[in-house]
Amino acid sequence: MPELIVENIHLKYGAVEVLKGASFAVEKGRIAALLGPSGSGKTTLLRTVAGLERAYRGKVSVSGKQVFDGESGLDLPAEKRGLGFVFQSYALWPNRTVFDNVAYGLRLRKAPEAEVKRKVGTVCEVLGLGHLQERFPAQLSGGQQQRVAIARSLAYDPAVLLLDEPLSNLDAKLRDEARAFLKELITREERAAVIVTHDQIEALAIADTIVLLNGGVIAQEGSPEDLYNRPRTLFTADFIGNNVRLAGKVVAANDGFATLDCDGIRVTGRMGQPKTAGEAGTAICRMDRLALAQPGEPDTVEMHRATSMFLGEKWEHVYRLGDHSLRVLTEGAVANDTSPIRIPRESVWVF
Amino acid sequence: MRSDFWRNNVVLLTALFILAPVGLILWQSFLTDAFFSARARTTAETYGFVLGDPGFRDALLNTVILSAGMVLIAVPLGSLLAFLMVRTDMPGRKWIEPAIFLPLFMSPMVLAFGYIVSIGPSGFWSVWWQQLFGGAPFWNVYSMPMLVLVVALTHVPHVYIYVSTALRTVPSDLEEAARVAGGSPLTVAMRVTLPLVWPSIAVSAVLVAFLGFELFGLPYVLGDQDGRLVLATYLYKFNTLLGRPAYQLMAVVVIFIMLVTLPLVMLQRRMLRSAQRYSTIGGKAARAHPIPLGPWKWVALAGVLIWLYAVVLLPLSGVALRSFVTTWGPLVAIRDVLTLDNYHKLADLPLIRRSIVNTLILAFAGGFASLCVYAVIGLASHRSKAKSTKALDFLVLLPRAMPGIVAGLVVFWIFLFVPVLKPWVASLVAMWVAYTLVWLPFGLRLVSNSFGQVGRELEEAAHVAGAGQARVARDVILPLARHGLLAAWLLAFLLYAREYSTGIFLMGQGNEVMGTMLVSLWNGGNIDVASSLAVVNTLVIAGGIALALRFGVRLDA
Repeated sequence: MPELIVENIHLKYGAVEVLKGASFAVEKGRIAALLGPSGSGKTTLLRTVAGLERAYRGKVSVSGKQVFDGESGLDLPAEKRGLGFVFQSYALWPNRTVFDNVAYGLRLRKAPEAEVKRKVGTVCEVLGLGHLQERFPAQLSGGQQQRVAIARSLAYDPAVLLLDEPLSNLDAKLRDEARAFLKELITREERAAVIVTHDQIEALAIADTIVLLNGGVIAQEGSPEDLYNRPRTLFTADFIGNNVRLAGKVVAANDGFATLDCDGIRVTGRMGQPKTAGEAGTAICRMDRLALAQPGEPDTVEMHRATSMFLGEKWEHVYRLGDHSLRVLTEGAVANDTSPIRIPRESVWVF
Repeated sequence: MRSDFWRNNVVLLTALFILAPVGLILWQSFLTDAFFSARARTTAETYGFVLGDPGFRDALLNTVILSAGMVLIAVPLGSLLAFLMVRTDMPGRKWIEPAIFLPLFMSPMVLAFGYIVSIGPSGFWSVWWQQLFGGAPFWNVYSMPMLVLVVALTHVPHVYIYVSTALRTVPSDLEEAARVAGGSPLTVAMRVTLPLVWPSIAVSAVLVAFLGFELFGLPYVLGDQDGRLVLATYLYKFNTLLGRPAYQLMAVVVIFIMLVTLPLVMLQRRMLRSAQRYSTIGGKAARAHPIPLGPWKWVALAGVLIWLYAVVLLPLSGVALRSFVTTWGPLVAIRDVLTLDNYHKLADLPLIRRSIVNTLILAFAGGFASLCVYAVIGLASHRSKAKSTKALDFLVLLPRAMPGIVAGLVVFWIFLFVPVLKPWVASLVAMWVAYTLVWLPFGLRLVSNSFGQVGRELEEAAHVAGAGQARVARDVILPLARHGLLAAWLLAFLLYAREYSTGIFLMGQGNEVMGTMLVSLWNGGNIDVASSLAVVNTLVIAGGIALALRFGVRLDA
């Protein structure tokens, strides 16, 4: 049975419906990522699970125990749900040392002081904070503060850990390290974790399940590979990955593939939904799969090179045809002004 | 977050605390006799009687004139002062700043005495003027124009606070852009800066008009000679005029006062909100580049110093000097009359001694107790979206609209009315209750502001970790808001030490405080002791201000 089950959550801010029936579940030792554009309700959903926002319909259960049930009016306050929560701002109490911050949950649970010392020591050791216990939050770096926030939420052994954009305040290099660290830690500590993020790379990397939210409803839920390789909606296809979006008319559709004519560019891709010739359609092409091709290859379009930029590892070229422009990455510089561009059909979805 | 039960209870108690006095007044105003009298019947005639009384109409007219005069004089001067202090290179700004706040915290009774003993008919300056120029001085401290001038000049700091705060949020690059585009400093000030702070100037004008209706000490002392009354002193006279207190008449006068002040308070609240929206345009506090005044800066400095002299030094030096002499008049040489007797009397007269001790107790311990009350109410409405707490927001406008003397009167009545409270009617407890009621809106605002500065997520982090509301308050909100609370306590100390009008009706045997003692010493014509007590009162307040500055407490809260 999953540690955390969230069913059909509905929530309003005044008259505005923010969540319109969101559901997901997380098993022990697994990480679910709530992913979505800003305003999709992902943070609100997380806060609802924690008991910091109040839904008007739905159910939440933690470790098999109901903590919220809109029907019966059951609504345990945040302090009675026994969850761990890592805030985006870390929310470390500035007037307490690292030790006291981490120990707070244990002291609230009236753990004997010796036990508190031992547990805080262990958690701090695990998170590499052993030598910082007497410091105040203001004396720590951003990465250290983030680890204190995690330590604080782990110290009292909650079965479920909720993290609200925990990596967004770290600089790029630190973020990559912290991501790997976090994933390893959660698996090792065997918690069920929910992590909110707007960064799809982060979600793909860290999560076992991605819950993609759009406008308060779940657009698609599944493993990262699932979402990346088998998007079921235009939104999912477009949101995941770095894409080029082309709108046009379906000219042919068979064998699960459709061909679109978009003002001169012909592209073929997998049908995300049944399409027939003559319909309007949108093609989503993974940008990183675009490549220069030899004349005569399939799935190619002849385009004109507008400009080239050297990015260090690679070159980026902008190719134009009519109003369309595509960005293509190559290993080396390109001499020709026109070239066929390959848009591989395995990396295109038509909706 | 959920347990609205205790919140509602706190709000309910607060509402009772606020509404009971107002309800009692309203009821009393429709009775023929005191509310506790068996002969009391209901009537609306008292309203007609008061409206028909020429004394009431005179008092109302005087109040309106004073209020209008204050607005016309204090608002331009206060705005100008704010502009000079915040935007120009006038010399000495750093040490003038704290001096500007002095009139805010000085007791109006002390100021009033000060003017009488300095420029009254036999005041120091009047006597010196006579010795120098022969003939009586051209001014008459008891005249209406003089009263208008005095109350207006002493309310300049109120305007200054609002306008200077607004001016600080106007980024100086807005002015610089206009300067670069070819505007002279004056044009820029009038066309760019002034429009941006208009809302704040308007708010301060409403505030000053409102304060005009609250005036008691200055018109009481300075209008006494000619029997010139304002609404507050008219109310006070009713206590003694008819041999015994005329409760129904007083209640009606109170209703009339609040009919004016309540709309003003509501107007101010609305304007303040829109003014705050206005001022957010200058989000970043950019470094201000003062506008060079050239030689005019010395003229500006002279003007500010003359004002400071008129509202601080003149009255204070008069009171101080008077407290060290036995008598003063045209033929007296200072050397012959110097004495410390007036100070010995402070210690010798049990009444006076007690008033000093009581004031210190009330200001220090009472101020703290009030702060605790405000903190509980503040916690109840903290981050609450409940309707009950929104109602509270409106309810506190009522005590805000109550002049101190009125609040004192209604608390006095409540203590008479409720049998359990009756034994406490002339005690420090009653005094404390009245003070707490009068300063409730201000204290609540200070407390709520400091709670509001605690990050929301810091509280939520404690909730999630397993802390209930009480624990979150104890472990997170209160510790993190302690600086703001300490500042609020200090301000409460200052205000309570200065307070004089609230205790007037409540004063009895044993609960005398300095402020009300000053009023009764003035009634008794005991100017010697009044002067020394005024000096002590001012010293206590000055000590409080020094402490506040030491701790970096903002006095313009």
